[in-house]
This record gives sequence, C-alpha cells and structure tokens, in this order.
Amino acid sequence: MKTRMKMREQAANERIKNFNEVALGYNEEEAVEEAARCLQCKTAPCKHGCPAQVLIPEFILKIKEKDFAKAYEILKEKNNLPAVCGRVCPQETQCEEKCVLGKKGEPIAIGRLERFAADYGIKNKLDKAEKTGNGKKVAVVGGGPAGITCAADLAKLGHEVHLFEALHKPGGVMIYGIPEFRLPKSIVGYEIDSIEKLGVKIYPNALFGKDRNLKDLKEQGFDALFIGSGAGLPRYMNLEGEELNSCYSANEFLTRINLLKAYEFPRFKTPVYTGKKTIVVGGGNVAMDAARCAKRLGAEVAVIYRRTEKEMPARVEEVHHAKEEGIEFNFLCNPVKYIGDENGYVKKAVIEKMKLGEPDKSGRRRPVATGEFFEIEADSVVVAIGNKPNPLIPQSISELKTTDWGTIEVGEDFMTSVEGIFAGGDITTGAATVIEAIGAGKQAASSIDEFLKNGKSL
Amino acid sequence: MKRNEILEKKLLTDGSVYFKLHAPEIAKNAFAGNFLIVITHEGSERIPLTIMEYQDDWVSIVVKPVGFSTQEMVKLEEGEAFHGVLGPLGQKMHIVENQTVLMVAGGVGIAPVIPQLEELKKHNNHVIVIHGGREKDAILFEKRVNDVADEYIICTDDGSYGEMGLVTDIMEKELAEHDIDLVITIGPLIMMKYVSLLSKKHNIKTMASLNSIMLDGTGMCGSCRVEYDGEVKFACVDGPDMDAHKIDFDVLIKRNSRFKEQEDSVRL
Repeated sequence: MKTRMKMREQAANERIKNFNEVALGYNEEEAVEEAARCLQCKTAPCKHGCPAQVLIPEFILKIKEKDFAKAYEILKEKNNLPAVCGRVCPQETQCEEKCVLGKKGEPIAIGRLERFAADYGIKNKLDKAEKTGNGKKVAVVGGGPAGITCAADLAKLGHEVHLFEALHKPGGVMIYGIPEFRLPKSIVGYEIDSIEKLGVKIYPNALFGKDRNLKDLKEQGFDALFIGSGAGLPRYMNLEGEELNSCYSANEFLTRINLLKAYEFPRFKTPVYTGKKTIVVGGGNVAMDAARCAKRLGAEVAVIYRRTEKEMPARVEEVHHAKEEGIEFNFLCNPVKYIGDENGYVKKAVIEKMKLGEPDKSGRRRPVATGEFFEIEADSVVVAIGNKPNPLIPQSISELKTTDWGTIEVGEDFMTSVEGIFAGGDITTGAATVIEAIGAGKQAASSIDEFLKNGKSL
Repeated sequence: MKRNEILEKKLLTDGSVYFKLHAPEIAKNAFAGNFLIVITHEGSERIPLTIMEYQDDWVSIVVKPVGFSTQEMVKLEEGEAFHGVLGPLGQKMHIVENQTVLMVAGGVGIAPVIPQLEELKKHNNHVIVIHGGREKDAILFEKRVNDVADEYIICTDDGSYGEMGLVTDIMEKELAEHDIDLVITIGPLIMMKYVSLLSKKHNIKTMASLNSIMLDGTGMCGSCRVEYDGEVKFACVDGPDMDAHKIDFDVLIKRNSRFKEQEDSVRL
C-alpha cells in the first residue's frame, strides 16, 4: 500500500457550525491496517525526527499486534502528552518526513497512530497513580507543554515537583491557544490529570515574580527551578486603527474563545465580537486557528498574508481545512490601516498589494510593497503575526541573562546564567511548536536530574 | 482556611461591597497601586480590581456591581471562596517625597486611593484629597480618609453632601490656592480625562489609575492596550498607574465599552 489510511472528519459544511473536533481519529481496524504498513526499519529514521524521541516503530508494532495497551505504555515512556502531540504536532516536517515509505508513496501516519493509541489509553484509563518523591524538590514555572513535560519527567525520576501556572487552568497554549475543534480540552485535561497522578502538585493562579520569587523558593527548600513561561506578548503592526474596539491580537481572540469559552456565551460569561466579517492577518497556525474560530462564530473570514501560499508557515493540513471551511485567502496582501465607525469599531481595512522580492534571512522571498491599494469591508480584525517573550520573569530575576530578543539564554544543558535555574520552550527559543517545547522540557528534566544527583542546588 | 476565602463582607452605602480575602502570597507581595484578577466561579469572566488593603495574610477589594460579572461577584458570602485570584499585578504606585500631592477620586475610586494616600503620608508628603460622588451615599470611607489626609474635600453632584459640584470645580480652586507637585486620580475614565486636561493646563504631573478590560493581566493578550504618547502600552504590565498626560482617554473610553452590547444582554 502506497497510500495511508484516511482519517474520518466532520464534513466542512457541518463543522463550521460547531466547535467539536474536526478529525475523528482511526477506529481499531483502521489503526491496525495503517500500522501494518510500517516497515519496522532497524535504523528507525523516524525517531530522529522526533524532539521527544518517541519509540515510534515499537509502539506502531504493538498496534499492529493489537496490543493497544502496550502501545500506549511505550508512547508514555517518552512523551507525557501523546494525545496532544498526535493531534497538533507537525509530523510532516518531523518523524513522518524521515519515513522510508515516504520515498515512494505516503509515509506512515505516525501522528494518527499516536493519537489512536493515546485515546485508547485515555478511554481505558490506563494511567496509574505512581507517587514516589524520595528525591529533591523542584519548582516549575509555567503549565504549558515545556513545563508540564519537565514536571512529569522529574516526578517520574522521584522528585517532588511543584508547578506554578499564572492562568486559572494549566495547559498553556494547549488551553488558551489551540481551539477545541483541533485539540479537545477534555483530552488536555486528561493528560494533565495523569501528570498530577505522578505526584506533581499544580498551583493555578500563581504568578512567579509577582506572588513569589526566587528567595521564597529557596526558603521553601526548592533545589532547582525550571522556567517554561512561554512566548506571551502579542506583536502588533503599529498601524493606524489597530486601537479600534474590534481589533484583537490573536492571543486575545483565541483566549476569549478557548480558555474562556466565549463561543458558549452567555453560558460562559466572557464575550467576543466578530461582526459579519473578520480579517485575520498572518499566515501561521495561529492565524488559521483564529480564522477557523471566527468562521464558527458565524463570520465570513478573509486571511491576509503578505507572501504567497508557498511561504505560509502554517501546516498544509490547517490551510487545507481552512479552505474547505470556506475561508478566503488573500495572498501578497498587507494591511496598511483600519478605518473605524463612530463607535470605534472596525469598518474597513486598507490593504496594499505586495510582490515577492529577494530571499530574506529565513530563505523565504521577501514581500515588497507595490504602492497599489484596495479596501475590504470588515467588522473585526485579528492580528496573528507572532509573539514576543514575556519579560515578567526575566525582570524578576535580575541575574538572568537574556538575548536581545528578550529570550532567556541557556546552555546545551538548558541551564541559564544562574546555577540551578533552567529554562526551555518558547521563553528560550521564541514562538515555536508544542513538540519543540516538549522536547526542551524533556531534556531540561534530565539535566536537572543530573544537576541534583551531583548534590548541587539553587 | 481556603485560598481566596472571604473573611469579611460589608455592604457599603452606594451598593458596593467590601471583601476581605484570605490570600497570604498576595498580601505578602502587594504594594499600593497593584491590582488583582478575580474570577468568581468557574466559567466567570476574569475581572481586574485594584487592591485596597494588604496586611498579614489578607487583602481587600471593593466591588461595585455594575455589570453581570460584578453582580455575580457581590453575591458571594463570608466563608465562600472566589474561584481564582491572581496577583499582585501591575506596577507599584508612583512615590514622591516631601511634596504636595493632590488626589482626586471619583465614586468607588476612593478605595484604591486609600493605600496610596497612606503610602504618600509615610513619605512625608502634604496630601489633599478631593472625593466626588453623585450623592451622599457615594461618599465611602470618609473617616478613614479624614484621619490620614492633610486636607479633605468632599463634593457631590447634587450638593446633598459636602460641596456641590464636580471634582474638577474643586480642583480648580485647590490649584489656585496651593502649589501642587503631583496629581493622582482614580475614578471613572471620563472624570480622569477632565482631571488630566485641567492639570495639563497647569503643567502638573498627573498619574491616573487605569482599569481597562483585561483577560490574563500579565501582558499576554493586549486587550488593555492604551495609546500612550504615540506608543502602545499595556495597562496590566506598564500600569495600572500611568502618566495621565500621555494617555489617549478618548480611545480608552471607546475601548472600555467594546463589549457593552453583549454585557447588556446578560445583565442580572
């Protein structure tokens, strides 16, 4: 078989009316059939494509053998968030890109199989409580993928871990950013529960640097600190009209909808407003999420991206889904200002046409202004052009070295300039993916364990 | 004792509610000018509220029930706990020493004025407080302010208590009589706007405490952004106390009614 097993999905015309998950997952027969395509290469190139080093051929073999429980166990050995990763990892540029099958046909559907095995584990409640805690005491700041992974791995190694999360629910971008229809919050909740079962103590509404500081942690006997506070600060384009009432950062728009469930307003009390037409500026996964959310809230949606489809950083699958859902794409376009009505809401956007010039540092061809403008009527705008690192924590520990970009500097062992303080994820790399943050959290956990084993502490 | 448990609840004359909460980490780290994000129940909005007092293991806030979320908040009783309280957030107040400071409060804005007033007195300032309200019932914490302030003038729109007139009318008189070094204003945006216009005319540095619409309160969402001297600033991390003369109040006033239609649709 050169082609992979298709995954069932909610039909586009149905799913734009709800926030339920779009991809429906494999059933047992489909999973076994897909798993059977795996060549079980000795060299397993797929593993080298995985930042979390998941034992890919091994878990796939167990699915083929219909030992789904064992497949789940193998997955969990390396990755604490397999149901999340099976859904949101860009496998096509990681594990699946390395798959030998991909040379002559389609690579094995590693992500879909991961999702299948993880969901099986969740459905059958295969996670056991295993509290150890005869080791050292570690504080983790930030309950996103990096922090959760680091906390879980350290707990598995026997350390007492306390995780401090600023929002009222842990999960970071998996809770406030990625929408329900791509990553159901019940799945994230389950994976976080399984981490609490390992003995990790999670404190929501706890903001390191504000309600506790390094001195407090030392007094409370913490031996090490991991910072995974993420990329938080939204970027704007500094355009006229960005101050208008219905102009949002993607962070704000998505947080209203995902964390605060504005799509169930007034049952949930946080409102959101799109009007009849929403413009989303940007071409990444966050832009696709914002566009597809706006669509589900009943708006017509136009994505404005300054390069062409080829340069879009969003996953092909996301763009494909967005198109299926009737989202309009305007490539080689860049907003220059927004015009408001008398009450301060967006009325229209002025857009400049762009063309591609020479490649820039990222290797993508740079968009160049043409001086040609047009207008689009719109009631709301979502600016999804990226985030900057949140300076709160670097500010609260003055000895912590940061880069010119505001990210925290770390060595190969993820230790910062302060002994005993480690950092990983977006706060060290700038905005990246869930799996890269997981990979960083994992490696940091093993460095922290090493550090503690050597009898060192904060 | 539960986290965020209500230790004391008092109904004030203007319908606002005073809450004293068990919050040891917040109390330990709070300072005048800081604020909290308060979540009443799971599923409630995240509401920013400036801290009034902070001591030992408790903090206090005053909530005026004006919309659904604040109405929901004031229903909680002693012994119950808020679903979530995050803080202390934002910058500390702007502190000066040995100066003459004019504080202009409107309505429940007097509650966050109190810790700033006390702090200013610790730093040897001469502090004049003007507190304006619609009517007599809107004048809160009168004795408390009177005990600390060097001069204290109350005014009401209808003249039912104190002097009759707006805070800016009184302010004008005070500016004529005193050499004021700093103005601090806390209250409705429209009041702060006019206080700021007046102090600008007299060229006196002015700090306004902003209460924009917020979600996370940590700089992540940008909902609270303020047009500030041609730059974008966030009230949650750069404020809440900001240089009033740099703030575009007209934009802020519009932005603070962003979700008015939705909010009105769920009023209790």
